[in-house]
Amino acid sequence: MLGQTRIHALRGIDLEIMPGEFLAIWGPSGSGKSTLMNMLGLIDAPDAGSIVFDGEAVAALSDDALSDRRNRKIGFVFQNFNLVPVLNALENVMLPLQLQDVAKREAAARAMEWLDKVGIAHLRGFRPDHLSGGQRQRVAIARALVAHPHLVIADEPTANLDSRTSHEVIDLMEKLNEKTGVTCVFTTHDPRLLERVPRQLRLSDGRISADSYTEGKSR
Amino acid sequence: MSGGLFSMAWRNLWRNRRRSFATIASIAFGLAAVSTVAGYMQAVNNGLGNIAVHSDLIGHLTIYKKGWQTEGKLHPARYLLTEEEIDRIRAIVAATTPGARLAARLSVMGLVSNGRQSTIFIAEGVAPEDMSLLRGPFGASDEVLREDSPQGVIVASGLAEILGLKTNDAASILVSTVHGQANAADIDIDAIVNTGNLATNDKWIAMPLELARDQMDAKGRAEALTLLLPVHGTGQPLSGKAADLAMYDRFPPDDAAMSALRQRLAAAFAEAGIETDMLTWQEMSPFYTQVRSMWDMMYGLFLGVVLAIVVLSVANSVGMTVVERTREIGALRAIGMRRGGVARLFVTETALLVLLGIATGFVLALLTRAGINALDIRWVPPSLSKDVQFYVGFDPLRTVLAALALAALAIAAAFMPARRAARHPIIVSLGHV
Repeated sequence: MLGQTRIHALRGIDLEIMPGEFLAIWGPSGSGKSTLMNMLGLIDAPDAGSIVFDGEAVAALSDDALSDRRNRKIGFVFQNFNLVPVLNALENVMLPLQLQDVAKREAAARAMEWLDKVGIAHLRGFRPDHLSGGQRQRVAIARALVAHPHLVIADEPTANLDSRTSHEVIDLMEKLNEKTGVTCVFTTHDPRLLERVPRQLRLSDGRISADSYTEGKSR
Repeated sequence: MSGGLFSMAWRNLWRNRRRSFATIASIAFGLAAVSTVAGYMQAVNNGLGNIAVHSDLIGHLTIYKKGWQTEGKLHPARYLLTEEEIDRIRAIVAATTPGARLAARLSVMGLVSNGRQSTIFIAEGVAPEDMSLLRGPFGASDEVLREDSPQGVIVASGLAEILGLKTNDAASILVSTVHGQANAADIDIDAIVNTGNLATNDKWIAMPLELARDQMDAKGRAEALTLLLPVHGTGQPLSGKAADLAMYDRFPPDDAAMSALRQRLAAAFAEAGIETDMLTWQEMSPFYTQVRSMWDMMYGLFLGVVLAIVVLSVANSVGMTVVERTREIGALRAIGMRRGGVARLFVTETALLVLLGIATGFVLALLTRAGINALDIRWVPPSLSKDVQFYVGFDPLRTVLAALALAALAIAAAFMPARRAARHPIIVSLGHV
C-alpha cells in the first residue's frame, strides 16, 4: 500500500532458480527487485501464488519455522551491511550459528574460518564502526555464508561501495559460489557487474522482461 | 544463544549511556525512597510499640479478673484479683511461659494537694522492682520507684508544674477505698518525669503498690497482672541516645505472637478454673494500632506512585530504544532470530537495567539512612511533649518486596514494546530510517 493506493510490486512472476546458480536481478528503480528478493529470502510473502523453497511450500510455515529456514538455509547480504554495532567482526559472523545453539567455541572457529576466507581474519576484533565499507561487506558475506546456507540473497550489496571494492565483493561472491556451490542471487544497477554473472534477470514494472545467460558463464 | 544474548544485552545497555544511567537512577531513587520511608515507618512503629509497652507500663499482656473492664470500677472489691488468684496465675505463667515476668498493678484516682491547691491525679500502683522490670532497657533509672521510699512517688512534670512541686517536696493525696470511704495520705516527691504524652503529663503519678493497696484498703489484691515477655533480655537499663536507638530498632512482639500467647494462657487458666480477660499490648494501645494503620495506607499510596513513575520511565526508555534499533531488529529477524528471541533480548536488557538500579538503590538507601541518622535531626511528634530523633530504621521485608515489585513491573513494562518490535514485519523494520 502506498497511502490509500494499492501498488502491485510484482505481477505474474514465474521463476525457477536451480541450486548453485549465480544470478543477478536488475532493472530500474521501482521495478520490484527488492520485493522479489524479500520473497526469495522468505521475509515477505506474495498476496497470490506460491513460493517453493528447497521443495517445501513456505506459505504453510509458521513464523518460527520461517525464522529457522532463514537461519539454516538463507544468507543475507544487505546494502547497508546491517551488522550488529555492539558485536565485533568475529561475533557478528558467529551470530547465525549462535542462533542455532552451536557451542561458542565451535561457532568462533567456524566464524574465524570464514573471516579468513573473505580476507579479513586480522580484523576479527574490530567493531563495525571501525571498519571500512568494503570490510563491513566482507563481514556481512562471511556472516551470510557461515551457516552453510543453500541460498545467499544480496540486495544491492555494492550500492554503498566504490567501483574497485564493488568488483572485489562480486569477485568474492563468485569465488565462494564456485567453491561451495551455494546459490547466489544479487541485485544491482551496475551494468559492468552484470557481465560477470552467468544469468541475468531483468525486471520492469513488476514483470520479468528478460531472463538471459552470458555465454561461457553458464553453470 | 543464552550466553551470546546476555553479552549482547549487556553491551546494548551502554549504547546510550545517558539514557541507561537515567533509567538506572529512576529505579535506584525509587527504591531508595521506598526503603527510607519503610525504614522510618518501622522505626516509628517500633518506637510507639516500645513506648506503649515500657513507658506507659502496659507490658505485653494484661490479665484481669473476668468482668473487671465492665463492672470493676463500680464494684472494685468484687473484681480485684485476690492474693490466692494472683499466686495461682503466677504458677501457671511460670509453667507455660518460661522467662515471662508478672507485675501486679493497682490504679488509684483521686485528688492531690500541695496544701494550697488541689487537682486530680491518676496513679499507677506498682512495686518498685516491677516498675524497673516494666521500664525494660529503655527507661532511665531516675524514672523508677525507689525500694527504700515507701511513701515516695514519681510525678509527671505537667502535674508538678500545676502544683508547683519539686523533687523532695511533700504533698497529700485523697482517694476512695474499694468500700467507698475517703482515705488520705502524705507522699514524697522522689522524681519528676515527662511522660512524653500530653494527655497524661498533667495528671500521672507512679506510686508503690503497697501504698496504693493501703490507700484502696485492698491488701494483697491487684487490679491486673501485667505480663512482660523476655524479648529484650534483662540487661542494664539504657540511657540517652542508646535508649532512643534501642526504642526504634527493637521489635515488640507482633500480633501473631501475642495472639498465640493469649490462646495458650487462656487454655491453661480455663483448665485451672480461673476466669480471666486478657488484653494484648496492641489492644491496650489503640493509638499504636491506629498510627500503624495510617502508615500502611500512606505507604501503599507512596509505593504506588513510585512504582508508576519507575514503570513509565522504563517503558519510555525501552520504547525509545526499540524505535532506534528497528532496522537492527529487522536484520536480526532476517538472519533467523525468532520473535521470542527479539523480545528476550529487550527483556534481558531491561532485567539488567533493573538489577543495576536495584543494587544502586540498596546502596543509596543505606547511605540515605546513615546520612539522616548521623544528622541527628530532632522534632516533636504530635501528642508527645518531648523531642525525638528523626530516625530511619531498615525494613528488609518491605524493601525486598518493593524491589521485587519494581523488577516485575519494569520487566512487564519492557515486554510490551519488545513484543511489538518482535512482531513488526521484517521488511518494514529493514526499511526503517
